[in-house]
Amino acid sequence: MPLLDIADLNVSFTSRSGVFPAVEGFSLTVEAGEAVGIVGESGAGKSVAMLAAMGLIEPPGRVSARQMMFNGVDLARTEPATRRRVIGKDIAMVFQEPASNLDPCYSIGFHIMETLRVHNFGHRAARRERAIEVARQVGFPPARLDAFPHQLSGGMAQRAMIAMAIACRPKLLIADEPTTVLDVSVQAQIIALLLALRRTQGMALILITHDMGVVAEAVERVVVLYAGEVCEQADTDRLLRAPCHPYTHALLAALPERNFGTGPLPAIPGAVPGGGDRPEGCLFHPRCVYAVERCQREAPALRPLEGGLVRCHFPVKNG
Amino acid sequence: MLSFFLKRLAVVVPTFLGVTLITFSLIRLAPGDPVELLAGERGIDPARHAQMRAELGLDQPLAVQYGRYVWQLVHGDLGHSIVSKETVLSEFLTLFPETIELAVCAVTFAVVFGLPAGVIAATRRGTAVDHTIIGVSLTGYSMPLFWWALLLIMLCSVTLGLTPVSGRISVIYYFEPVTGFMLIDSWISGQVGAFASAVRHLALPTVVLGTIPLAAVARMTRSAMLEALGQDYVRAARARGVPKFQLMTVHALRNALIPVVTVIGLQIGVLLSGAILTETIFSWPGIGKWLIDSIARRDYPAVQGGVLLVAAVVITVNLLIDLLYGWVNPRIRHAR
Ligand SMILES: Nc1ncnc2c1ncn2[C@@H]1O[C@H](COP(=O)(O)OP(=O)(O)O)[C@@H](O)[C@H]1O
Ligand SMILES: [Mg+2]
Repeated sequence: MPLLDIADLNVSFTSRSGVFPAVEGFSLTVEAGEAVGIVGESGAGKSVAMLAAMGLIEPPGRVSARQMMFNGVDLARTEPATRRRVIGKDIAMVFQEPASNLDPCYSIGFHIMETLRVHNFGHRAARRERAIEVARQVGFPPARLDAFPHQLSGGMAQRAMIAMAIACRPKLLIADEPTTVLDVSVQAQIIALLLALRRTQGMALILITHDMGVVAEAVERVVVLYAGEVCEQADTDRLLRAPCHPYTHALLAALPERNFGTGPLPAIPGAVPGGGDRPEGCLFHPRCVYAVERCQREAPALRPLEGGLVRCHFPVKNG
Repeated sequence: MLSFFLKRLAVVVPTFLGVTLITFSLIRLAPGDPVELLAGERGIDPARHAQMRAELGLDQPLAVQYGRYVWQLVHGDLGHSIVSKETVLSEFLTLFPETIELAVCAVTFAVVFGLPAGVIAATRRGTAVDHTIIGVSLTGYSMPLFWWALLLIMLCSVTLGLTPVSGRISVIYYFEPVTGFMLIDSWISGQVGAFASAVRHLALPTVVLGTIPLAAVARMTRSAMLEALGQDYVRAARARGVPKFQLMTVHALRNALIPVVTVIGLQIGVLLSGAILTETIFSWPGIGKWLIDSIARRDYPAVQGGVLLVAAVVITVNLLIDLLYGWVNPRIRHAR
């Protein structure tokens, strides 16, 4: 039985201009200890899907799912109180912007110990000890646990966020673009830290990222999201070597390292469809170089192909 | 932090000079003179009148009078009341505890009711509860004090007979002041009913004086809570499994307090001007009533000294609020 098994997750936001489906029919399984990457352009629904799994979508957002099994508990059905005991303890999340995700009124130590306290981790002294221990593990100087968020650099703040996340030894860590707002020099350190923690703690990792380089070295499996739908899912090696979906193909073709010295980067023309302009048929067809008449008419289903899943009538043939 | 306070102190001296100049001229612009008012309806014979004016130094040119006044001030002398012959400072200090007591009760009332009202409105945003709280506090905020006081007196004192109309405590109780604060003195006097009487006399003035600050605190708490609840760190705390009540208090309310403290600070000035009206309406034996009486008697030194001391109090309280602000806001506390 997988650690996490999300089936048919839908998240929509209702506004005056109508209902906007941010995530549609999203499914994902993660085995214990496995590392899965979620990629896609910004606005694709990566964050929303993971926030929904954590139960963090608030009205006007609406969440529905066939199931969201985690460790034998269906998070889509369970009582809020039961879910709260799992969230933050067995599933933890690290956000994109550490600065805004730390409460400016409290020290880093308070944040970590609060997490431990709400999950009934031992006594005061034990919590203090554990806070120092996790601070060491993430490379956060324990002497700075009394520091307030505004006194920390971005990289240090993200280490603090990671310390909070792993404080209760989670089985699954969701990292939502954990390095996007950080200095380039720090990005690699944070990714290396996450990978090291994953190894030493034996936890599963869902890594949302833009960076295909990170995907290649960090995760075993990749889910590609486009306009709220999964368009391709495969083992990392296969996906990077032989992408089946034209969108994945275009994403990889747009990578700088694959185009070294060959003139301007081939950008994907057009933009992700927003609320009012969701096309008929395949969501990607207006930007797809291979699109034919059928693609405008008929929405493709997600189907198995070459050991993965792909949502395309005419998958790219590789080799 | 230190340079911040030095800067504030540098503003104090010109402020005080301005206050002396304004009160000095305004009170002299008002028609009537202290000697005539002292004599009352019997009148006074012109020779005696001139003699008394000379004794008080009122026969000198205004510039000389002002010069003498400032010279005295520089030497720490606020002068003597024309009416009572007491020093202005000692009159002020006897009455000041009464005003402090009223002001502290009014602020406490405002915070004790305003803060929860704002929190409740924010957590029930858009519901009937929220609209009611917004509506009531808007009404409270725009309530003319005089009218509101009379309305409450009509209801609570005249119709229901719950509270006395005016005064500080029933005349049947007497004890020596120890602290100057009637609530404390009546309590330690041990006289049965004295404390209750002090409380009943305090109730209406507290409500009247506290209404505007209450409305201000409630409105600011609501909007600051809503602002805080939309912040990423609240969501992040939820992601750590922090339960709802702690999200509301430990995180949202704690952050909302920062602007609320600012609002309370701004209300202190409003409160003191409100105290003048409130004390007059309820015959409250405090600084406000004393100032009004002194103005009516053209007691120049009392008015000048009183206003100056009130200004000193406002400035001190604002400095304390700045300290409090630094204390609630870590970003200021740790500023280098
Ligand atoms: N609270 C919200 N209200 C309305 N729309 C939202 C909200 N949160 C996200 N969205 C929309 O959902 C879509 C997916 O957002 P998101 O998951 O943040 O994208 P990303 O893949 O970059 O993480 C976006 O179009 C965004 O505008
Ligand atoms: Mg995102």
